[in-house]
This record gives sequence, C-alpha cells and structure tokens, in this order.
Amino acid sequence: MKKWKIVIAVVALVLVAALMLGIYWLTRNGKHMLGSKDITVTVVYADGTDKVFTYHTDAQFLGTVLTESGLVEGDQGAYGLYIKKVDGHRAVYELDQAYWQVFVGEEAAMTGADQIELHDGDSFKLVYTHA
Amino acid sequence: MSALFNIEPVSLFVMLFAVTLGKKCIYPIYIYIAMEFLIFGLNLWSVNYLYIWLILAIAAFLMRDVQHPAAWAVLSGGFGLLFGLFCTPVYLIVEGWRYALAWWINGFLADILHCCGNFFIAFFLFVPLRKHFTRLCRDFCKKS
Repeated sequence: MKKWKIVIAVVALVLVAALMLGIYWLTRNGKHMLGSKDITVTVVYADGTDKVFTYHTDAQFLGTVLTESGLVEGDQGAYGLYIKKVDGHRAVYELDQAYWQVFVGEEAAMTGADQIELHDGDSFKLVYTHA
Repeated sequence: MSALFNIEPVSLFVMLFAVTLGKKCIYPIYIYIAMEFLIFGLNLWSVNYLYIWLILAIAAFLMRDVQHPAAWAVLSGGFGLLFGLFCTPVYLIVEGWRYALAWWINGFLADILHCCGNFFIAFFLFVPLRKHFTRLCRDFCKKS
C-alpha cells in the first residue's frame, strides 16, 4: 500500500475523531437538541449511605436506563423487572431477606422499573429495604 | 485489562486470526464471544457481539496483503472509532432512532479512546505478532 494513502487514512481518522469530539461537546452544551431527558437515580445502600447517578437518555422507561447503564442486574418476572443487584450490591429476598425498592420521587413505585415512564427532570430512588 | 476502560487486545487478535486462519477465524472469534456471554451474561450488547467482530475480521481478511503497520493501525483504530456506530442498529430496532442516536453520541468519548488504544496496539504489535502467528499456524498445519 502506498505511503501517501496511509497518511491520508491517518489524517481522515484524526479528522473523524475530532468531528466526533466536537459533536459530543456541542450536544453536552445543547443537550436538549436531541430531545433527551436528564434523570437522577439515588441509590441508598444497606448501610444508609447514598450515591447519586445522573443519566442523559432518550429511553422511554426507567428499566432500560438502569439495565443498559449496568447499574442494576435483575430478571424479568411476571410483574416486570425484578432488581437483584444495584451497583454490585445484592438484595435477593430469598437469600438476604431484603429487596431493592423503587421510588418515583419520594413515592414508592406501584409498578416495576421497566414500566415507569421517564420524563426530563425525573428523580428516582433505589433503596435497600429489609423485609 | 478490564481496568483500562475501552483498551482491549481483542481487535488485534481478531485481525491476526483473520489474516492467518482465513475463514476458520470464526472459530476462535465465536469461542471468545461465548466466553463473554458466560462471564458477563446476556444483554442487548450480546446481540451486537454476534456480528460486530465479523466486520473487523472481514475487513482484515480483505486487507491481508497489506504489510505496513500504520495501515493496520488505521484499520484497528477506525474500527474502534466506529464501534459505537456498529452497535446502534440493535438500539435503533429496540428503542427507536432518537434513543439510538443519543446512545451513539453519548459514547463518542469511549469510541475515541477505543480508537486510540486500538491504533497504538496494532501499530506496535500487529506486524511482529503476525509473523509469529503465521509460523505457528504453518507448524500446526504441518503436524496435523
């Protein structure tokens, strides 16, 4: 392969990377350009400490964001997503006599996370709860 | 190397398998994919993995006559840069175009890091490892 072709390819790679970086920066500053939603998820651990996770997403349901981001692991049950682990911390009723309770704002969720619709500015909690 | 975010030798090995084994490279590639599924479980990314490494393998196979390390670095780096794009069809189908586009753009920094890692790993290691792989394959084929 001729050297000038390789040089052009390297330059093109750098330019595309620079373009992607520019688009990324622009969308951070104009984050609503794509109609995306900002949500926060506060995880309250067994020891009472908490950690806040923020997401910039266009997903329709909370469960999608939580599983895609890797924050939660769980199974699909008859009533929707059954969260078993949050941020690596397990709460399985049969093993730990505890579970992860989902709150929409300050109210306990009445449905599974994969049925909770997302809106821009929503806040949620995942609270380690002893049975 | 999991502590090094998006720095991986898999792209290097996929290219090496493709140029030394030809069509038989699908065996080690899909053994790797199966190991990933066993270790990390199944998720949406699992669908990506079923086809994404084939893209690189086919491109490497088509470039098998190229010797210059920079050319292989560009291929590997370009694959890393476009990794997110190659993953978006799954999210396009599952969540729609707006989610897929937002997901892709959110991953641009990761893709750029992936590109840099792939570029330098391939630049320094592909050519010397290819010689060893070719010799190993030749010796193995002779014995079998």
